[in-house]
Amino acid sequence: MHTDANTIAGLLQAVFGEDITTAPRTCQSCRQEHPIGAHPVYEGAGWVLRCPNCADVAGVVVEHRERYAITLHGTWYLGQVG
Amino acid sequence: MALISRGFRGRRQADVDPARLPPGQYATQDFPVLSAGPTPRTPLAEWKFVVGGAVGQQRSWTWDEFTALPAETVTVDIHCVTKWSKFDTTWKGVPVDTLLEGVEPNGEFVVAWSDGGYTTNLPLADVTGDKAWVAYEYGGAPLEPEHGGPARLLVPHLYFWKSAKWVRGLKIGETDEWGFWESYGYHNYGDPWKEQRYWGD
Repeated sequence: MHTDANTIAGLLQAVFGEDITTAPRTCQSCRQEHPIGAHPVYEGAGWVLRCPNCADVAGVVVEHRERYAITLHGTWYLGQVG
Repeated sequence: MALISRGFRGRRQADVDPARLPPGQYATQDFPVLSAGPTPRTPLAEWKFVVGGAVGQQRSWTWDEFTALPAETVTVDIHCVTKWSKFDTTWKGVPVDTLLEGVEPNGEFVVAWSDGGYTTNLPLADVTGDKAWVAYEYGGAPLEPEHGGPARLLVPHLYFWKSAKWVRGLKIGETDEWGFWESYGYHNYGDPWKEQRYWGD
């Protein structure tokens, strides 16, 4: 079962401190760019975001007791410079 | 806090034997479906199971050959790291001991690998000695794809992420090599009775 990353927008906001669903990400494998909110998300032992095009792993969020353990793949364009 | 419910947390049954429930777990009658990725749909005609890596003799089986191997039916309790446990699950599969016969392993470690790219690592000693199976039936019926069919690893004494869905092979190694969840913060060994969920547990 999977949904898209908008389903865990609240979790991503808790991790990143802002709404990142409209932020773009470039895949390390297929080089396509898609908004983070368009990435399918799978619920296993943790949350796995995958590329909407090639399904390679885009990021993993694990609730590691009182913290989140975050691993990102590809290029995530986040925040605002200046 | 997960923002989406993982099964029916906290619905305690009065008839649950607490001695069978590892620390931090709750018992469920359901069979929650968890997955790190899309469900692969490999045609059985293309399915092969391979035991390789650091071995003297690599072995492989087609689906027909695999399901013709001597199989066992076992009833075991399973424990997911997301805190549900399910008692008395019945599986049919081939003991890993049988798959390792004549292979001559040259290492003490195993990586189970699956269709879709999932991996998990275990000590060889934890998949031998009648402790692990490659199961292709659940509850007397062919194992459904959402639960890992056509075949999944079954290692009931460890957290269930070690029981890789859609398993296609075992790679013997001389060194320990992290699998998927192990590389993202989950425990290298995963003993539910010691509550080894995460790195550092």
